[in-house]
Amino acid sequence: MIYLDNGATTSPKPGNVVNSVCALTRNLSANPGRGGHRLAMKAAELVYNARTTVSDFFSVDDPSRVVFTLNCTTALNIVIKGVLKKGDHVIISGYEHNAVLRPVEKLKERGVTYSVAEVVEGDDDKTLDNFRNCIKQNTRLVVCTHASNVFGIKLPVGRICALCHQYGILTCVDAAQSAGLLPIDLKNSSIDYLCIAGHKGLYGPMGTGALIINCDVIPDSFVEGGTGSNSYDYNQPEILPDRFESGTPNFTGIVGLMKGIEFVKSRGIENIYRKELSLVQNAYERLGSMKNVILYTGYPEFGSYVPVLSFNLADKDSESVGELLSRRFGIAVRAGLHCAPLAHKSKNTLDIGTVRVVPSAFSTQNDINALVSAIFKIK
Amino acid sequence: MDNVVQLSSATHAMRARDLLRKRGIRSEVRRVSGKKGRGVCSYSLKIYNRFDEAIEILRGNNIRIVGRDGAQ
Repeated sequence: MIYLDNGATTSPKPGNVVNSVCALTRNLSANPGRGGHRLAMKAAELVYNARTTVSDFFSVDDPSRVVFTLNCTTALNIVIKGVLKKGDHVIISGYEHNAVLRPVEKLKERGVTYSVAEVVEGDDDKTLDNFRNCIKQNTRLVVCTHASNVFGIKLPVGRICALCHQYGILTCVDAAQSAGLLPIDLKNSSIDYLCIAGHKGLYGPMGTGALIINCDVIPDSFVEGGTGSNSYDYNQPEILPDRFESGTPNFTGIVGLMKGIEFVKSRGIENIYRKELSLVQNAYERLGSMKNVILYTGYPEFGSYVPVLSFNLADKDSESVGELLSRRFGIAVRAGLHCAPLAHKSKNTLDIGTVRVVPSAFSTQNDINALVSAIFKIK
Repeated sequence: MDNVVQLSSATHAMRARDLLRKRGIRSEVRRVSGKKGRGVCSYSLKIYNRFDEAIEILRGNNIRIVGRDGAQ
């Protein structure tokens, strides 16, 4: 199978990730941060090493600010539901995933309101103006994706977050599609909460993600329970990361995430990004030259896009094309709405969805050649 | 005197150990024995040298010490 569905999760995982998960499952199945015996302490040490690996990767001094979660969605829910109170207003971008849209929609029941700031492709100034125009007296939080998971368009999150701080508004960035591809330096940014997926561009196992808290406003706890700390207290601990890490953690996944980040660092973020975007550019040019292929963005320039390409065939629905690619050509892509109806609304593809192609560090030019050849035959 | 400080979690104990190591102070993370009542289910740091200086370093880095037993 030629795997071009790396926007959903990267595959294959690097050898060091696979080996680590297998070896730990076999040899160190002990609960970290609970018991005091040698195996539990070793497991706790490995989780701590993973935490420092994540904090170093995103330039955060204090590793306790890294909260491990099941995925990016959980991290976003912690922030959105833990920060916003009745009467608050939140702004989201027009490219948000359902991981953001559904929580803010749900919070309408609690008396929270939200606005959607339209993203203008290729014009960051206009995008910024749209965010500014959404600000109200009671705006408490802005949640913004770093890059669209459907169209690859990169948002000016640095400028958006800086603008928000001028108005005393907290900022949360969804880096599900950008972490591991674009450098994120929290020490020199106005991002208050960074939400990441561990299993995409960071090459960890599925079931991993993190919330990095880069400000002094700590959200309410999301899930209460055992943390292995302060157990005499009936109340959830205030301290980080324990406040948000109740229950047995995904130990092997967390250590696998550390190994994934080591893989990314060994290849170099910039190298991975350039390689993947070059493949997308090649696909864009060749698919764009076919009469029946519809593309939805401008040319994916370096610095303005992440390696995500959406397209359709004029007389076919996206799910049929995805199914044909899989069944007849052994090519895995994602079709449909990609859990991001707002993004599709902006490109008028809400009814038909798109076929999405996302390469990884392991993808090759031959993979793209096979895709282009298959589309030529299907159309 | 045991030269032991009690910290609120494994993460904080390990961070404390690493901060001290950077300053040349040797320490070791242990599970608390429980002899101090509420000490159960937390972690401690056995500090082997420059105890008082170590305490100041931890405080300077906002590491909350929930209990201690050592030289003043």
